[in-house]
Amino acid sequence: MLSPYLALLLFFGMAPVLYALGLSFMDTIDWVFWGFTNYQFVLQDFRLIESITNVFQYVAIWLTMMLVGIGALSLMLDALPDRSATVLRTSFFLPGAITSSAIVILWLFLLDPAVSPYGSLFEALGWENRQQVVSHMGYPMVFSLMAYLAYSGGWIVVIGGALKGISTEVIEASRVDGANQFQIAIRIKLPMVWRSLALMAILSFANGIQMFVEPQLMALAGRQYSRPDWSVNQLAFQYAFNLGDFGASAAMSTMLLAAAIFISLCVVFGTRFYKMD
Amino acid sequence: MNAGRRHLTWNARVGWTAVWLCLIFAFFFYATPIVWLLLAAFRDEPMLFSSGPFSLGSIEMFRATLHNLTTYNDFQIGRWALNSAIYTIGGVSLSLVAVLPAGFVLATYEFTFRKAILVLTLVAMITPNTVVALPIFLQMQAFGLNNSYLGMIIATAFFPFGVYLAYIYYATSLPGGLIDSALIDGASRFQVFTRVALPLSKPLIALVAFFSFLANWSNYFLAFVLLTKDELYSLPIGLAVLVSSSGALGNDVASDIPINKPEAIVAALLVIAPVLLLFLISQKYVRSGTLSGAEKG
Amino acid sequence: MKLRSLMITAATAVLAAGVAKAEPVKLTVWSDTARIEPFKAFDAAHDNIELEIVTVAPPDQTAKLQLAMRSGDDVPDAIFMAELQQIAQLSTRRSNYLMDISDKIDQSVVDSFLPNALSPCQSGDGRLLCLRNDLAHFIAWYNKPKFDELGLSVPTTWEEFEEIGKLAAENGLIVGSGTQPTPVLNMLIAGGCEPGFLVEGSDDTIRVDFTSEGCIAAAAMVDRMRENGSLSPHGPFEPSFVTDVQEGKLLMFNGPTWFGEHVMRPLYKMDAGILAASESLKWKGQAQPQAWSWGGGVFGGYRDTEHPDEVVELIRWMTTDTGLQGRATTMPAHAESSSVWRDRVANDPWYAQNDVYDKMETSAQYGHPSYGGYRFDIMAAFSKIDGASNASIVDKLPDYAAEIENSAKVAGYKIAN
Repeated sequence: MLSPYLALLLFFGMAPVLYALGLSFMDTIDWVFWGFTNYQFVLQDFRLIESITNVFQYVAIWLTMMLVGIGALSLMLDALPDRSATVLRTSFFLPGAITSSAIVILWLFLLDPAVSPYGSLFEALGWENRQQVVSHMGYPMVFSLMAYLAYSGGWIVVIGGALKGISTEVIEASRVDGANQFQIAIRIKLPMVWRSLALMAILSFANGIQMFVEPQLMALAGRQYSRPDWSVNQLAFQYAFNLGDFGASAAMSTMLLAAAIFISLCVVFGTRFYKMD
Repeated sequence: MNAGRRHLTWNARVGWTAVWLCLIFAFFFYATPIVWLLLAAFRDEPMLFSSGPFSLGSIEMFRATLHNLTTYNDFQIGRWALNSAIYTIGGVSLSLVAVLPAGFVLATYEFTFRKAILVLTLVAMITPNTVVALPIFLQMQAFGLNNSYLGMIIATAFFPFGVYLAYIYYATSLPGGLIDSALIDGASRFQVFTRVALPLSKPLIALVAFFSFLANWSNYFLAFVLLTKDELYSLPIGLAVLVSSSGALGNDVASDIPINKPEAIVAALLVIAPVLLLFLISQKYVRSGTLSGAEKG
Repeated sequence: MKLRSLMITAATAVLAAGVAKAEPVKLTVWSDTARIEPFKAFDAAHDNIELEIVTVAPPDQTAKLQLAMRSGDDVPDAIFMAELQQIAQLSTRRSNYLMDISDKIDQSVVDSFLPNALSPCQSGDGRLLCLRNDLAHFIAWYNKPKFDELGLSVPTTWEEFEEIGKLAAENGLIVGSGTQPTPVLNMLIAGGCEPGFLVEGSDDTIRVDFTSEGCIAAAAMVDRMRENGSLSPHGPFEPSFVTDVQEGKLLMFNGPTWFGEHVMRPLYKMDAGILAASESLKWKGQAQPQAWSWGGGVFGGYRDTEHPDEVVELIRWMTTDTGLQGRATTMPAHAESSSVWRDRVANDPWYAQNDVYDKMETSAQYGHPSYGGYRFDIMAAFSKIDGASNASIVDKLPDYAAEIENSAKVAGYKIAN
């Protein structure tokens, strides 16, 4: 029963990663083994420290937004009558379906007080033009908002689905015991969907430290906002796709992946995620 | 719940007010961009720049935009949409076949490599595209699968996130007692899956199918790596080509082709439309399939 | 199966019959959307060559080529490069795509381009790697009725430009954008800043110098003009800037040759009879202007193509066919085509004067001989430093230099002292 999936996992999951690991020890033009040269090269990149700092600031903001925002909104929606919940959930989800080319245009306008639908908010804060908005919010915040708008809706749907999976009997029982809605949400519902929340935290963190899309999109919004080396993963991309150095790229991204795997496994085994109850 | 509201305590009333305030705020936060896009579709480029965010354009402007979009290269965008539909339908179907039984087995049976497979699946989910772009390209090339419908479908059928959705669903929502009794009755694992688990999986199938659909429909990366023929392009890659080389984004691309920001916005709305439709359908199943009373214990 | 073998038989028969006629050579080309029609025109004009046109988003092109070159299959025989950095990125040891066409293109063809047009295609060590499609050097665009109204004469030097800026500021007008990278970058380079020009005779040593007197003077001028508001704090494509222009506040703009046709008209919606152009500006002490450029695409070929002759013919024809280039979107780099293209702007009553093309053409000779692309994104270096603080441009000059030197080293360049 597992075999179709295992075949795909082998071909598209493991083989490429192993191949990349191999590449990271090679000179990819003359195909000679040259040990840790690629690693040395990327670790000496003058932008590395800065991009690591950037990424951690971003992850801190983004992860908080995701956990608090999605957790709270999902629980609130679950307590609502079905019809209003569906309307709201749909509205939360839709921004995530906007294609990347349109996202650029969208943010081009959202961040410009002169034409932004949030313009009055910016005015109230005294931010007069796009440059001021970006510099006051800071790139980590701007990118977090971009990513939150794109991904949170999907997770609200997933967590919402998990909440629907909780049997009504459990909830009825606690209601009989005198628990109010708030207590039910925090004490009964939240613990029962912890697996989904944990998965969200793991994936958000792992994808967060590999963030790439947001600054790339921002660059398309105008040369002024072009930051092609803002995140670590962007550096890895540059090595391979601008300079043609796939070995250096592989070295950078395998280190990044290793960090992501390490943190994820800490969470997974720390929470006994795979335990069968 | 409505019946109970009449007797709400003061505390509860404050609580509900706070909840609704939060939700209304969230609604504005999320809905504003979509509303803006919808309105922007009815404006032309100079108007986008110079008039207020919610000002109204005209139907004529929308028509002109739509005309520019559909006449581009003999309605090439239609071809891309068709391709996207083929890739997506194929990818979703194949991913369901692979994902559901895998999630079921991983959630309900203990075996030697169970944890290893779960860990590797997680690793696959968090592997950046930068790492796998070249290997996947070379692998598919070796099998002659790039620039083909089959290649795209197989590549998009790999959906580790779906495996986790299925794993979590079966691990949390499937009563262990049901499986045990079915096994005692002499059913094979496969039979347990098809006869016991699948009928209870409506919400899961809706969820996995929807997310697989979304992933495939908006997939840029695989199409970017695997396709180098215009007639095979999917919508996201086609639109990126169209938009980025026609001055719709940068303004510093000089071109006589009438593709600009309004065209990109209308294209985006065309891409969102099917997502919205499928979302509403899948939500119906997610809600209707609650496992009432089937919890173990 | 049967059908297939039938088809094969039929195909063999056709082949056998057509032996006398040479089978057309098949070339794959990668194009942006604007170049699809020109490629089709080439296909139609050449019986012996058949093109397969693949449309690729310009920002994706280098990345897609890197993948294709790793496997050796599906590498296009020729490409259009909308971004000049691709010339540098695609001619290194690690990504060696571009064909050296120095020996394959006649000197007469090279000479048929406008002055300085081919400089982005010439590598530091003297190889010719591409031919230029269009020119995009900076000229001085101005608002004719406003100039007449204020009784101003059109400036020819940056010193006069600053004076006009002062007057503009007093009247609530603007004379350009004071944002990095492009609008300000042009002013800095015109003054003599050297943000990494290839050292003569070398393909990987660049010179970075922001300390010359002219460079500092240019930066100080930008600072003063940002201070008094004559250079807008908004980028030329930001809504606030567009609104200002639509309200008639733009007195002057130092912009590339395509700005009139592709920005002023469609985006700024400028009325007829307003826009006029003048030659690129120079500093008083300079013998002639040094105009930077903004854009201008090139065609290049694959060094390992199976059909080098056809590829060279393609590159030559696409850039020099007068019938094609004469009706191009932007100012052709090829001299004769350019003078045919002249009609597009010269006879257009939308412009306030009919000498716009002539100003573009005379300014071509002022095009900076070091204009071209680098393996790294030099514009991004400017944007990054500029976004980092509100310090004056003069104070930021050393930071620009440091950022560029560091980026250049990562990209494999050496820095000349």
